[in-house]
Amino acid sequence: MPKRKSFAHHINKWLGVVAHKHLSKDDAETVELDLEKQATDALIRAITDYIALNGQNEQFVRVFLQWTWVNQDGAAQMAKFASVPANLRPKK
Amino acid sequence: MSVKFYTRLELAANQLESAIGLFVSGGDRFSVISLAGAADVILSRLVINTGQQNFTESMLKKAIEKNGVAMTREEFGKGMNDLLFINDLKHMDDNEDGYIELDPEECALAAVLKALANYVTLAGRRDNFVQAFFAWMRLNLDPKKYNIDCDPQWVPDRTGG
Repeated sequence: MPKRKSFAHHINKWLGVVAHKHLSKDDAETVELDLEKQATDALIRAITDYIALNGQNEQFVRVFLQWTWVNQDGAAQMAKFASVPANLRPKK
Repeated sequence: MSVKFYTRLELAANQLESAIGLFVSGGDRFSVISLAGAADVILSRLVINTGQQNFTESMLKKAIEKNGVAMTREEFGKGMNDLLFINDLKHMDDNEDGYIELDPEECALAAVLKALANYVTLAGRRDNFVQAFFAWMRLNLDPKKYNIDCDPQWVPDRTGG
């Protein structure tokens, strides 16, 4: 299993976060991104951690959750989640 | 799904434009610092790639001439970013307590100015967001304290008058 730090870096690359805040000597000066999808996913990741710390009662959190339910087909996502085995679900 | 190619300059310019938009409209200063700081990491490297001196290098050169500071560009750059709390706003290590003490207004302004200096070196002053920020500076900043025209010969007026 990869260490938390290297897996976090992998996710940051996958979300396009690294491309937005790092540029090394040998990196290409162009990058291929799905901005809309990656922006949404980066927000979902951050808000998931925010909710773990502060709950989901603040207005901006509720608005974003509502937006994702409507625009990311919340019902289909929940149906998909229902089929995930208990041992693969996030710990409460 | 809409995957497209973008230049790193586009990513940096968009982040800097967002930082400036937030700043001049009174938006969140922490977000300004994060956006301008992230943009500046990219802009600093792009300036180096063109064979020019970036903002950090020019400040380091001045510090060496004035005080004989012996530092690498990386060390000096990290010191500047730490001064503006750019790293504190995007990283948190295991041993940190979750508190920082900063002047959000000053740090946000300085983070924008640092990134803007590098952007202007790469792309000039013609973009609307650049012109808008120069106009904002002329209206809101003290020309004795801030180099509002980005004149390379400018020095702050320390007479207190």
